[in-house]
Amino acid sequence: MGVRQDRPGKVGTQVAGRAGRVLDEVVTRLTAGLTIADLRALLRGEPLRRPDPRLSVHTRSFWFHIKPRYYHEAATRFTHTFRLGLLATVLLVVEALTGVLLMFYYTPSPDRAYGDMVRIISAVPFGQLIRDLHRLAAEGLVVVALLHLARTFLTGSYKDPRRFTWATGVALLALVLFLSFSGYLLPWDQLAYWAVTIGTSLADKIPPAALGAWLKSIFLGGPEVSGDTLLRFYLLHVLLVPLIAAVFFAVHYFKVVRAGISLPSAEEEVGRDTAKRVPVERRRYTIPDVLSDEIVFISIVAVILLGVIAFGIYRGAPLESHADPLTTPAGIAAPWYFLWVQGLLKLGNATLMGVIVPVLFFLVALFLPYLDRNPSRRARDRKLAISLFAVTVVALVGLTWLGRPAYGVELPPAQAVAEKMMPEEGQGEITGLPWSELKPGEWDTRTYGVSTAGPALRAALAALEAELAAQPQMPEGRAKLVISQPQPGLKKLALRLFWQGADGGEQVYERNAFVHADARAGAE
Amino acid sequence: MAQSRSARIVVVRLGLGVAAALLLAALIVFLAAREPDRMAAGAASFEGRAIAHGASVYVDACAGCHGVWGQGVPEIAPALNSAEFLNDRLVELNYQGDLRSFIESTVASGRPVKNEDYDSIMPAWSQEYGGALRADEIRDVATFIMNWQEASAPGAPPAPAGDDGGAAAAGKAYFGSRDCLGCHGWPGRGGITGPDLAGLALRAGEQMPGVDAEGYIRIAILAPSAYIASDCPPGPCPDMMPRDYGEQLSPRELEILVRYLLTLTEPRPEKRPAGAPAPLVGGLATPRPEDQGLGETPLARGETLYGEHCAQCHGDRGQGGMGTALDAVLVSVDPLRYARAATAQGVPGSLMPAWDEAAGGPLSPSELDDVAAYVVELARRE
Repeated sequence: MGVRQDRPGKVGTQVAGRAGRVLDEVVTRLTAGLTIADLRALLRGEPLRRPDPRLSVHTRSFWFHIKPRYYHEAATRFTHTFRLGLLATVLLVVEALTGVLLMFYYTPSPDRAYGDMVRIISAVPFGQLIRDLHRLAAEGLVVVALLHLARTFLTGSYKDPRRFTWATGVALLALVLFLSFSGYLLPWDQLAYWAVTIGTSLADKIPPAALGAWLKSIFLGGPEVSGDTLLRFYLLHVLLVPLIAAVFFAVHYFKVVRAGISLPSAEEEVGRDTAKRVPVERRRYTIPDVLSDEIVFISIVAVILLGVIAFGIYRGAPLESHADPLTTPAGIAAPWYFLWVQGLLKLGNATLMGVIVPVLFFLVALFLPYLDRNPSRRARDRKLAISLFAVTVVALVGLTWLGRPAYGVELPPAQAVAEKMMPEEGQGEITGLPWSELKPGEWDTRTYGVSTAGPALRAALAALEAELAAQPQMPEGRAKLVISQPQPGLKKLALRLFWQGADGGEQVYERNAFVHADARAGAE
Repeated sequence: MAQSRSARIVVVRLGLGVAAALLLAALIVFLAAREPDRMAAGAASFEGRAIAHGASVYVDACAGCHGVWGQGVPEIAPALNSAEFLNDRLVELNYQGDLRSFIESTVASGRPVKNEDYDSIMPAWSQEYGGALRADEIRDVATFIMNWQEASAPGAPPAPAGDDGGAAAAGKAYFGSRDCLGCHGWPGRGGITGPDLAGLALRAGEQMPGVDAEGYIRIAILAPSAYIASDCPPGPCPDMMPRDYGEQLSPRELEILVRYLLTLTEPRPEKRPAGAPAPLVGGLATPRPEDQGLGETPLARGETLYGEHCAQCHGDRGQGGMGTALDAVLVSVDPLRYARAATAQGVPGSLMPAWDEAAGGPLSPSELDDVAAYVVELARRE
């Protein structure tokens, strides 16, 4: 103790005795240099002793050395940045931590990957929570990165001297999207297998054809998605892309600190950047002001993330059945942030719409600061830029809408009806009924009204009847549902759809499904 | 001014930070408290999914030889849904591992030997050994087969019917959706293994002295052996009616069934003239093959028997209806034996009864041969 008695400095400790000195020491450690007396002075708005105890830590510590000593008050207003960059960083850290935890239980091999997912969900304490967090933060990261980009665009903060910062940010967005995409395959379920099969089929369309085919086979490790693809995607997902992203992140952050967070455009004259020239009275020191602000912000983010999962507001990461290269599921959906590409694909040929247009779009975004020569950051001087931005947003939303599976390949009508009632994956109107409503017997869309069917089964049969009536290609459509129970806890649902064929003969479509009493969480 | 404002900010921030930390701790405690239950539910859910998935693998890959639901097919493959297989087989073979490893390894690598009981071999099913199944499919089918180990409790008793107006109408639908139809057939269409119930309301009151029609029907359902009607067809009929309807039926179900049976006032048709339109089945017009005399060839005899016993559920062309479409028999390496076994043994858990005389059904061994031959013919024709 005695060795460091001089540390508290001139103001000295106002808490008496040995206990006071210990307390002061603890506070000084916790605040990285501020004594209790310093804190009091800060709260009262009195001048601090010299040298300023808030600043010395910035030269002594790695972590504080990468934070600025102080920020411009105008740049720290919540409504200026919405803390989106910090939020993206927090989510990236959540991804890294949960990702490492998941890696403890995961083997990137087709024989084991799916079983490991099942184990993570059902046998690892907090396994599902960690997986849900990983997925939620990943999707959140895409949203936050996009919002961060939008904010930077709208405040004109990508202009000189922050042009390269913007470019690294766009590159980071692309890396985040690729991280999401490569992570998509790892559960090795039907969703993973087929979304990636469709996604990587675009690689084939890269011109010239020979290059595209070569790139695809390099990427997949063979002609189609296989065990080699899984290992490649795994290593890209956990090693290579995170490393590249870390470099871009470091450069991005370095640039942000070096140029300073741009001030609201009203704070400075057009064409000038005064972010780094902060008048003394407008400084907000990192310690303790900005730092405590960030800690509180991160705590609230953590509460929201956990709360959203704990109370089921976020539905959780899905796990469909084991990947099956021989069975193409009916509705293959890209992750929502790639739906705009699917939408584009519906507008033209795959090379143009699937490769050239997205790549051009990305390049324009990347070089935007070098294309936009308008020096003003004020909205009223940037009517064209902001209009173009609005058009782009509307176009992306429209393309995303167009890319929804509902506008996908149309199933034959009977299959579409069956898919709605008893889908191959997940639960439909019939397979999702409570267990007790799936009463063994034969149910018919024409007689269910006078049958002993329970209310939910009856409603499902009514929906089925309406669905058939709504299919113009299935005249006189009717359906039979036969429910039997081959094993305890296991029911077989045989759905047969009958309709009048073009030749007048009766057409039949049959689909069987098995449901188990325990595999129906939430349906009961 | 400035001081008090910054002090206020600090207080607000401290408050928010403390509140967030407390909430975070509470959330973690909440999640930890429910974690054991969640894991158990997750494990049960995936076990259920494995069983359901295994069932569909079984139907595609195994049913052809081991029978629709594991009853086995004589001379082709042994029963799997049997205590002998599930409990005694490992001991008999002096097998070191457990049942799961026995099933999984046998499915994966097959049984490349014939013996005196079965004259076909079991192929290797694992993709590793040139078969069709992935490792996860083999695991799931083993889970499905092992699920037969659980005491085969019958399906949960049906929930009481809601107030759906017209008890008789509800009873009719119930009649059609339960075991009744499998034996009695629709009234007026001829019984299958049980008597045709057409006109039951007319004669019920005169069967047992001092018992009115409703009382008689209740007795006949709840205690079928108490009185055997004179018109009951000879053969196994009186013994076939299950005696446990008192336990199976809820009071409401018994009630609607009785109400429906009391509406059966139309006597049995003597003999439908040829060419007459078939009566409605449950309000549905289902064509019924014309009555025919016994033909000479096995196929013709099979056709007649099929029309009498099978068409009602499996459709006149085997296209399926309440019962499975019969082209399902083609999944088997030996469709004829498969069809014969499935007909003789019935399909547990479904409405398909056992038709073999030995199991209390109406068909003799030679009749089973004929029906099976006709079914395979139909399946190939479709």
